[in-house]
Amino acid sequence: MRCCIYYRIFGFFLFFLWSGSIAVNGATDSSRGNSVFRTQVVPYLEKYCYPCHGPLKQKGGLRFDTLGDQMSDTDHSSVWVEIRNQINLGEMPPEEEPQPPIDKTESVTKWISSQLRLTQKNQFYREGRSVLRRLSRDEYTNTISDLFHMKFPTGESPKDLLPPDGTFEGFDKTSASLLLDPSLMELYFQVAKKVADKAIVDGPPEFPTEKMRLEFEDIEQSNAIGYLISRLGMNPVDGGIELVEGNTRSYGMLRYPGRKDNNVAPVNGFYRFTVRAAGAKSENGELPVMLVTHSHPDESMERIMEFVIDNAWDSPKEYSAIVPRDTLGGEIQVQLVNETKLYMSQRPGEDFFRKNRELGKDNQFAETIKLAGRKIAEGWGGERSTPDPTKLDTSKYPRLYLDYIEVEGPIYDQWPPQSHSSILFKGDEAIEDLKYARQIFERFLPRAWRRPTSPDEIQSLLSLVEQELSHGKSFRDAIKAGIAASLISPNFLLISEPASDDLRKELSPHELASRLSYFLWSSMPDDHLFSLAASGEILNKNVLQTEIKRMLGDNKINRFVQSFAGQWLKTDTFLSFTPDKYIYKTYDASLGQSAVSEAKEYFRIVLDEDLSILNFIDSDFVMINGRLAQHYGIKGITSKEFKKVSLSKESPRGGILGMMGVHMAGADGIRTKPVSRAVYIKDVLFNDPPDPPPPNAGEIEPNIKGEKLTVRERLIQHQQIETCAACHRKLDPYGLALENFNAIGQWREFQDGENFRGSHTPKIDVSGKLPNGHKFSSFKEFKKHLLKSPNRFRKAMIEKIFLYAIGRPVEPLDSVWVDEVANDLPQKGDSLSAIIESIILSPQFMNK
Amino acid sequence: MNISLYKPLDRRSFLRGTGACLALPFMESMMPVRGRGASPSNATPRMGMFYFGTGMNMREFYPKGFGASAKLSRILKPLEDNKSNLTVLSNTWLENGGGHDGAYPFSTSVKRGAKQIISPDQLAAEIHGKITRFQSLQLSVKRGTGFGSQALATISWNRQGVPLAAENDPKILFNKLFKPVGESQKQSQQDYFRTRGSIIDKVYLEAKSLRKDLTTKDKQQLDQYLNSIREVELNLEREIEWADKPKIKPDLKGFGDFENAKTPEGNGRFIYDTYAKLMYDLITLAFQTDSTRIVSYVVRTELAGGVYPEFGVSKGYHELTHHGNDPKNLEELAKVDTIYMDHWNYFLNKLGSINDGDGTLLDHTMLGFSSGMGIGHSKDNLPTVLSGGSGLGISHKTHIQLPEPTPISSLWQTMISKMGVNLEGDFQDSTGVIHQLLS
Repeated sequence: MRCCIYYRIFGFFLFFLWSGSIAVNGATDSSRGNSVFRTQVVPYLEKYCYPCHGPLKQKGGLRFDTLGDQMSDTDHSSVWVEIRNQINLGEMPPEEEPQPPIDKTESVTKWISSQLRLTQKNQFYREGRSVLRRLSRDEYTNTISDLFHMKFPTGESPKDLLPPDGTFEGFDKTSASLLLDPSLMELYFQVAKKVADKAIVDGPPEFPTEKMRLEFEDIEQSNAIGYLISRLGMNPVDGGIELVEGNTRSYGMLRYPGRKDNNVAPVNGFYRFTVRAAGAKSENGELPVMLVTHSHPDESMERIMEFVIDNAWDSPKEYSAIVPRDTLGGEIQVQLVNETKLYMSQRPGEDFFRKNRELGKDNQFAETIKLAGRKIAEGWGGERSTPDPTKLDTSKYPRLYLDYIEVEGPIYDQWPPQSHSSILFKGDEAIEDLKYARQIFERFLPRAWRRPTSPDEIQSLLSLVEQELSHGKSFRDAIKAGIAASLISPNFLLISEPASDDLRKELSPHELASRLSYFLWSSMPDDHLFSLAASGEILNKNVLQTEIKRMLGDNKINRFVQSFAGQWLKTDTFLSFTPDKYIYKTYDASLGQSAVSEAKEYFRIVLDEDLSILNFIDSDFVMINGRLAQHYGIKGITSKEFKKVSLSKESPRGGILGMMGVHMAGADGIRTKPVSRAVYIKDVLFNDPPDPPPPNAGEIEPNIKGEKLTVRERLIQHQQIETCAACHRKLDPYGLALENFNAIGQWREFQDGENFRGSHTPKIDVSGKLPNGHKFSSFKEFKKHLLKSPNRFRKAMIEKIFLYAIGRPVEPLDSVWVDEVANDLPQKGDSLSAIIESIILSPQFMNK
Repeated sequence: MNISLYKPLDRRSFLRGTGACLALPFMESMMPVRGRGASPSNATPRMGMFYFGTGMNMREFYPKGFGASAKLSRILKPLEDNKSNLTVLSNTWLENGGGHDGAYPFSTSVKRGAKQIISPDQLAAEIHGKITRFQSLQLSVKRGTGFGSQALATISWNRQGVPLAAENDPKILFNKLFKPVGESQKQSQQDYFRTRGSIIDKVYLEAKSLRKDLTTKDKQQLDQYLNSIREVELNLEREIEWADKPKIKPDLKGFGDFENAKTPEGNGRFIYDTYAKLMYDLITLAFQTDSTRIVSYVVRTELAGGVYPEFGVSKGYHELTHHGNDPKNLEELAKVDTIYMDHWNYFLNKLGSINDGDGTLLDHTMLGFSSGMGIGHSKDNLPTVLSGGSGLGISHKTHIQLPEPTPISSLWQTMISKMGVNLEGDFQDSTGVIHQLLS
């Protein structure tokens, strides 16, 4: 945890304080800081600094003896930062003056850093309370979507309209990161209006749902495009066409009725694409893969769906997907992904040439003549530059049979939409008067504001409705204005838990329901949670435990996986350096995407199957898809979907440190960055990120021409500099231990990457010593050592989830609680759900 | 609390009388109104602050020699035509800069993690924003604020120290500035103004009532909401005030295609050259039409991005800055910097080609750019350049060496003093206006 240095120093005192009261104030914190200040910092400054920055001299206008230990104002804290940086860099005291021993310097800089962090935290948090905050962009989007039962087509989701959020300690869950500025407020107005307009409709949809179908055999009949059928690799067959290579398009024959362009989508919305198809395996058992795409100005919108076609030629079936489309699309293409290239310069034509060359080399001329004969017989050549379609036997290759393509849309789950009928709950025949309006908001407002509302609050909104009506607005438009107003209200946008400064108290049932659902679902409570809140039953521990189980089992838990796992494992940093395409030829964008998914899928399986969190350090399985299996050298996995795959004993994979994304994040596309990797381990696995390097500290120098040093050698040189040594000797081993993974996370025994190519590169050396004295000589041993202090990881995991759940970091006063939870965890199977439950049942979560 | 009393009735009665109130002569409403105490000439002053993240290759940045005879360096070579319209400032620094946190203190001198203060552009906007349709514009290559990460997307902060979100889409910005409101929209716009005004009344009261039962910390956080609502309210008043004055239709001859603009996020068809010019075109149009006088623009964020496929270099910008003295890296870094300066020259030429009163638009616009670091993550050796503003009393000398290490806030102070901002007491960590820049 962030404050662990602090805690290590003061932990002993804390233990006594905890038993007292929760409301330990800042003064006590600093008095503990005082003891180190008095016994270590002051003597150090006295000896080495006061002569020039004390009562007698104030070089540079700096005087330290009157500084005190407080860092709360900028003037003081910036002097402390300067002191830290100067002594860290070894620039002070000046060379000609007596030099302090490194360990003393280190304890002073540590004290300064921990005091600074504490001060910084105290600016945002006090006394173990989380501070009022707004909804994050994700939470806002999910809440709207749940409140109105809405789905958003591309570009229309609040997520597309609102800007990304800030972060604090890596998470977008705290008041310190969720700031509110006027431009965001303007956007909230716009979004609220859009949502209200979408929620309530007038009359039938402008574009009713239509079915559009293209029979592929019609292509042959068409005067305009019939010639295509004579193309190699696309053959007319009974009731459709056969593809051996290439693709077929919609050729303008697929469009929404009444439209002049080629588009199937007259409006932004959801569309069902269906292709009736069948496939034939290649001679070595490979199934055809069908990809349906849309020509579109935005590349990210091109892909519609992709399937492995596994049903036999004579039993075609429908392959279907519902996808969002906007109005900018054009032609639709159906393509055989694993096509056989039917050109002489490509395989299998090229296979003949190669075979021929090989036979020629061995002087097997009789065989070459036979081969030439076979080549002509099979349609591959002779005098021709293309295969002879009459002779070519395509049955050896994967083939696709296409019957028809159908598009249905725009799809409305129902019309009027569910939002419409649940808001205007009396239906179209209702008398639309103020009494009805009142009933509407009595139903709607408590859900939108996630708590019971007072008659005054309802009345206030009704006066708005009334005012709109008096300006000649329709009943529905007036209701829309009321809905928009309720979405801009602080009661919707903010998560507030009213309380007083001096008294801590239990969350109200509704506040608890909200904390729960924003923690696990990143959204508002559902009906069941609301009813438990209304009855107060949610405060009952047994009921609460049952609820936690139910929420963990709900689909919405996926939002926790995406949001928490993504932020905890920093998946957004995985792809920030694109691997050098000349050095790492096997890397491509889809592999990069798989790396991001791997981290989240791994977290998902640990959560879903209640596996031990120690799997994050090492496991005997991985979560991979076919692309990653290929990358990791694991045989027999071809699926696009992620699967849990067992590992052999020898495999270095398993756990976070076996994931390619983590290694990519700790590399710059050419070479590995062990220091970054070490920082990653310290932050992600220990929640103990090291101090940032002093300003002006460079990174490891890349290889200078003619001097081929490995990353390790350069780093060890760096450690020779005494000022760097203090931190780097302790930090670097964590990163160097991962040197067996190259810049794209492939296992390597020998140096590769930047300037290291060919067969005589140095062997990788990962050996090192952890700060606790444990030595290791291999990556496996390193992981074993990590597993030897499992509580360190347990605590880190608890602290990370705690911050995410409660919206504030663990503070020194929480550490006794963290210890207890960590100690009890093994009996509970070390599962994520046990941590989640412990956090929810903790006084920190239940109180405000 | 710093929220002035809100009087909903005033605005509504104002609205009812809209027609009469806003019967300003058309020509007059088109004429830029002068900000108070601005400059020796009668020109309208404008200013822009620009952030080029992750430093530059400072070994090839500074001109050789000083004054008008200075020879432009490789990176600044593209600016040859504008040599007399700019001054490179050697020896500027950023106390809390260096490393990758430099975007935070860039405009405020306040280090990352500490409570921010109002940025100089916003001080100027408090004066000039009263006159123009838009108080100020925040542009960036990345949308939002990026607050919390090193790749901060904005360098503008309001009085509460809250970062002001930036926009990166030229089309959205263009429509905001210039898209006219159709006649049929007018009625619905009036309705919208009215409804929105009532909603503001409501939620303002709700927030006030919520505020009663909160802890001190919560209250501080809620004040962000109250302040934002108040700003929206002020904006609404501006919108109403401006509603009957048509947006100025800019002459787009020689400017880029905003309708089909692409944003930098994840689209393979994005071309930076087109984008960079569009963004500079947009600022030019905004200044030309006096839609706003204040712009901030994060041209390149810290750490992430900065290099595009068309540049033809082998690595990302950040990777290149870890040059390790490898000549190839330094060469490519200089190449990328030169491309950015090419665009800067395009910008200066554009401003210089437009007549504005007794000079050109460039003469009446001060553009200051720099970075949060120099080279090798240093906090000094910053690539600081002031362009334009000759007609506002800026005296350009192509290259000057500041005798003392000078915080970049001194440049901001110089600029805002020319914008007519009256500073009482010290300004950030500034050592005062840079006299060498004043005629």
